[in-house]
Amino acid sequence: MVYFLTALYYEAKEIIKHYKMKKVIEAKKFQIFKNDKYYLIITGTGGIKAAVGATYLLSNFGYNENDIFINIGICGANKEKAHIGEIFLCNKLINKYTKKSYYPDMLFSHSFREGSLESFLEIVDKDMIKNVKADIVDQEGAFLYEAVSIFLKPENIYIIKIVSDFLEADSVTPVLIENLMASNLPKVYEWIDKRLNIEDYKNDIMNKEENDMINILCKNMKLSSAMEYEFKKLSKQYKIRNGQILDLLIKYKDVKCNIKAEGKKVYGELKQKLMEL
Amino acid sequence: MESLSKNLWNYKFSHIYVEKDALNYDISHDIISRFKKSILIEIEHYKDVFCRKNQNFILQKKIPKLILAVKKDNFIYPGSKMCDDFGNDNFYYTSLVMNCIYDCEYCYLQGMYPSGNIVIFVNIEDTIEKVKQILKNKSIYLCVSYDTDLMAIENITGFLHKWIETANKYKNLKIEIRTKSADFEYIKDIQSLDNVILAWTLSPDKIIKEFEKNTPSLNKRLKSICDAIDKGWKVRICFDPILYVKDWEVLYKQCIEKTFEIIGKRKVYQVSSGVFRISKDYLKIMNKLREDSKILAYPFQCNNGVCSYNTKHINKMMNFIKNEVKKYVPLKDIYLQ
Repeated sequence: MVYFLTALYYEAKEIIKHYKMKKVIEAKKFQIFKNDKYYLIITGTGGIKAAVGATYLLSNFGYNENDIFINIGICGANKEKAHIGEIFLCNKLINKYTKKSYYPDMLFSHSFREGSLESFLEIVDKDMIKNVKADIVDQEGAFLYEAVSIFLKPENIYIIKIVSDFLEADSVTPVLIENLMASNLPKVYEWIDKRLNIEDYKNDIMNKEENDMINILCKNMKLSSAMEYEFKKLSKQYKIRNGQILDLLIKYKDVKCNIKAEGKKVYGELKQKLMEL
Repeated sequence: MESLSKNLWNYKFSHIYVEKDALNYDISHDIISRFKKSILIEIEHYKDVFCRKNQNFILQKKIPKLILAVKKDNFIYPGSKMCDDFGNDNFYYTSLVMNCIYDCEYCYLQGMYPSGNIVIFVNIEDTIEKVKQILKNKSIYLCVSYDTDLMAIENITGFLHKWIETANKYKNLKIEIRTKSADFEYIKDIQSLDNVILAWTLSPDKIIKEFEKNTPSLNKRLKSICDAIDKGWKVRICFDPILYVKDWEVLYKQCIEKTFEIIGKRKVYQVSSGVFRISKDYLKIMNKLREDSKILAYPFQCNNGVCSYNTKHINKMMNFIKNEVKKYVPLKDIYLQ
């Protein structure tokens, strides 16, 4: 699953349209949109709303630790450090107030510019430029990252910002935001598509046939819970080492023990075999 | 993850994280200048990157980042009970680099560290100073390449040159440099010393290919060993860890035969060997990281917090190794763990 978070509706509008998302009626506290693969939440401006919104989204919609989280939106920049419409993938996020910095894991290549983002609680205007340490500024990124990193892996959290102004908040209009998003998001979609081709999934080691056979043997050998747990663990290890296990287990298929002591003896013999190569 | 198209991975050391304090050291600038394409990110403390929660050690090992930091304490540690002191008193080790450029499936570092990225502590002089202080009172047996492979990154750090220079000045300092690399050439300009031991870890080629990713082949390691002995260095050969895998007897017999066939009449200082053994806590983490590992899929037995094969297997494997090695090396020079 991919989770998007934007502060403003104008930042979200194009994404909702692109992924053909529908509004989640049950979500009462925030506006949430979804399709079968993507969720998007609009939290409003500010770090606390973003952190709460992210937590609300992940906690209420059954996140998986391998899911991807993308905060996308506009940001301000120092005129000398960026140009309008430039897309940043942030590699360092600075909380203006705690001075703590956060570092998403940059495992995957991309065509965006990388840089640092400093997050403020208030709108940053030109007069504050001396206080800015990073390449770009916003009101959510660092706060949000701190919250999301409790749930997800650092290589799966992306803070993507599009420069909208040189610390002139008054110049930022809904139309400007919509235009910036519409013209720049195709590059982001393209990258997301590539990124999604990577799936960090693990197949189950034991298949149904093997699990069924193990359950039959447990029953036939009258194994205790502890022995059953050990048998399953040894069987899994044997399969990893040898690539298969049925050839061994099938030899015990017809063994039926009437009493536990008998089963213990048979299991002892099987256990020895499971411990060999 | 294997399905990932190659061009979506970043490259090794694509990012270098540097502590502000580390920028005061010339070596940091030397290292940075070697990686001109890398993105430099200034950090307060290496732990802000290295000790983040939920990191993916396995993925990070594929494309590690470099972290340059200043070591503030713990310059020298007492030797681990899982490692042989080879009869030396005052066994210590240092950890000036955390993590290794190689990616061995059985490596304890993946259980020990939260990250697969590589930390280089640039202030080696502080560690050497600490060692010098101890040397005033006693001799030391010091392993300098345990939690990393210093020879493999000598072209980046130059640390081996500094350690060997120190050993040259202090005869009561005995140093072990353990490696799997084939990069003896990085130190071939240095005069060999009696109190420095180069210890090569060797494995059968099949094991190298399957379980020791990014490491040089057995042949290449052996070439480095021969070059080192020819230059007068004391070389310890470590068949360690011996792994309980299919056909292990055939694999290790061939490996030992090949080793001594290539080394020929050259004098090997010592041979050490031990089966795979690991701290219980590290094994637990490794099992989570590598759920389908053939090496870790074994019903290990744990004694005093150390896990290894069962006694029957250990005895069988160690006896086998001893009998094979003693064909080439006197028993007194063979150390078994």
